[in-house]
Amino acid sequence: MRKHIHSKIFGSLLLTTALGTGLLGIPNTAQAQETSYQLANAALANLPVENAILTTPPMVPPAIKRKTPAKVIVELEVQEFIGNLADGVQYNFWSFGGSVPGKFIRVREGDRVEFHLKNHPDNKSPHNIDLHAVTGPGGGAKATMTAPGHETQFTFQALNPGLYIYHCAAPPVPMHIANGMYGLILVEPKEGLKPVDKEYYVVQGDFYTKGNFGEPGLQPFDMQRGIDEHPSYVLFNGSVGSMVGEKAITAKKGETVRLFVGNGGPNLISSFHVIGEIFDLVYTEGGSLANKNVQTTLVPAGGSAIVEFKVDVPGNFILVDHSIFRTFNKGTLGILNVSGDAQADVFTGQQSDKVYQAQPMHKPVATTPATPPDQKLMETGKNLFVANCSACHQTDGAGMPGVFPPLAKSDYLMADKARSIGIALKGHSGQLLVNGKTYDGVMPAMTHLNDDQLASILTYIRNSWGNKGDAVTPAEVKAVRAQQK
Amino acid sequence: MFRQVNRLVFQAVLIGGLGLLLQAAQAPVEMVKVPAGVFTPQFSPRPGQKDFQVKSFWLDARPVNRAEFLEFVRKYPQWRRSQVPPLFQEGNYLADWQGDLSLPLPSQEVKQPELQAVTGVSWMAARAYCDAQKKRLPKLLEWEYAADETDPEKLSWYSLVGIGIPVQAGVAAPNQKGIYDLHHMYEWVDDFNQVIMTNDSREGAEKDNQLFCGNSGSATDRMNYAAFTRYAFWSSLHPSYTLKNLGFRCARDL
Repeated sequence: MRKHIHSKIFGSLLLTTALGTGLLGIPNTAQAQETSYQLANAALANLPVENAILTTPPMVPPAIKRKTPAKVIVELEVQEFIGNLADGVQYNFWSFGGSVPGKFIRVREGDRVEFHLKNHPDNKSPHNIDLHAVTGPGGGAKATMTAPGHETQFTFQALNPGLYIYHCAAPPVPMHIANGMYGLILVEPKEGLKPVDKEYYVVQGDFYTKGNFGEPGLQPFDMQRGIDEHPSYVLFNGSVGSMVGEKAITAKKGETVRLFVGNGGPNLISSFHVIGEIFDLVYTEGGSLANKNVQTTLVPAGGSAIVEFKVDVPGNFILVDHSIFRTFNKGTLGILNVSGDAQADVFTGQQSDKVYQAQPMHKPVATTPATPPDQKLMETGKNLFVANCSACHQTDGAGMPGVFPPLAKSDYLMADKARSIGIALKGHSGQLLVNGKTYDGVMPAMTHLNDDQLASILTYIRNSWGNKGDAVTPAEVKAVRAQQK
Repeated sequence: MFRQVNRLVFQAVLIGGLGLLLQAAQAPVEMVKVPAGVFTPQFSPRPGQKDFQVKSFWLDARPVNRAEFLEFVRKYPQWRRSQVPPLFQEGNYLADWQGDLSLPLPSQEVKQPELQAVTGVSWMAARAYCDAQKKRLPKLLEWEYAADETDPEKLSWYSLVGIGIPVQAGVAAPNQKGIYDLHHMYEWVDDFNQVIMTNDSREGAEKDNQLFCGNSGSATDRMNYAAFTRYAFWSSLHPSYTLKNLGFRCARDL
């Protein structure tokens, strides 16, 4: 049979080549492809046909109930669009389906997947798709090389169960991936996955922009940064704050959560961790090997992991790349919000809170009389705050309960101006008490900011969200800086 | 500088109005003589060879515009939208025109649609147009040589989203070789499919080591993602394709 197909295709190739050469001087293999489609289609004739349900992150399509294989039709449209990397920061994203990561695809082991790739006519570049779930040359890349305004098709059998990355492999490949062209395809094992209460879709990616983290405006792609592997952003689901506040993923106490975690790269390997949780189960690298009781799991670039855990305690649980500068300075931060009553036998919450009498860390600095801050200073301060501070303290200054102390109506902030300047300059490590709650985190030193910039940030935070204080002058910052030396 | 631009536009209008005879007579005037030189393309068409001698040739100073293409289809009815057989165009041939002989209407963004570059033409149509002018499509190597550009500011089009509006003749400054309107859309070249024939960006190792496109190791300049993008685009094409962001200009031997 196979031999027969080959000879048929070969014959047809020869024919079209002869025809094409005669007419145009260009070989044409369209007819040969047509023939092979027909043969492949004949083999699929008896399978039930269904259209794949595709979802945008952080949602996951429903589990597959079928016990037998089907022909599953997947239609993905490549969209190039301008979106937000962060508030006020735009980027030219390229995507599978209009989101970064692209649509989540869910099929069953043994399914024949008829894949349609559509490249919107308004797109600039040719695109294709390499699905790591595909057994075959290029993972489908060659079969799906698609010019703008075109649609290509190929079919593969999902031979191996697992969670796989898919990505664009059109040249320049790293640029296509760096612009957001990746997503996950889950091939459920024949026996299915154990039912859980909640499933979510999270993919990490690194981004290379001309401007540094937080620099506002439309940021062009920076090839040199990409080659140097120095991303300006490292993100979950394509933007800073993609899973915080109202967009946080949720669960109820007692539920089991399964995260389908991918890493599009293009460069970095992720040390995926959820603060305050231990993974009960990790399907390492998205394969069949199940590891138990894992704190942090590696997710390779172009790879994945499935993690499962029961949430026993309510509260906010923070998804991070534990290569931790990426979380605090480049954006890998998401929140799982667990609702329910306290579970004191597992976690009590704070049991005591005493004043700790210690030697003062800084001598008080003479302050100038209060003067109302001018508008321009406030504006500069706001922009710099958003770029440098809001990833942790949040744009509304509310911080994050238990993790990042609030600045809004913060007694600690307002009590001692010189101390606040000192913390901005030198960072902070260890316990501090803000509005009656203890925080025990680390804040990096803002050494990259000059006196003027720090003065404007401090003026802004001391005069926003209900805070009322006097302006901080560059001279005051300079004085504290000198003292620290 | 401004004067020169004006002159070019004026010539374009004049030529569009007076027809092909005059254009044929004046062709070298609005063409630029590209001097001979040695060029190192991003991907070598010949294994083992990096540098290529390019002979001097004439190249249209700017892409063919709609007014000129309209004259062409007036004279050669077989290239009108309703007449071109499917073998020579995939279905969106001159799709933005109002009819066989009527151009798109002016809009807020495009005041003079007749001066915009013509797009949505197949390789066969572009080739026939150049033939009719006693010209030819430039070779890929010639195009890359004439359009060589490293200034990232001038290459930003490749990294931006959307196709943009097809260029208008002579509005932006020319490059060092005096060529206008480069790097604002893609252009047909005669041998567009000579590179990355497999269409798989990373398969080159098997077919031809020189053309291993996804592997920047074989590329001349690993920073030049604009060239990567052009080669990828060309390799995704079939001669019958008619795309919104794909126009052309003609060349001629000395």
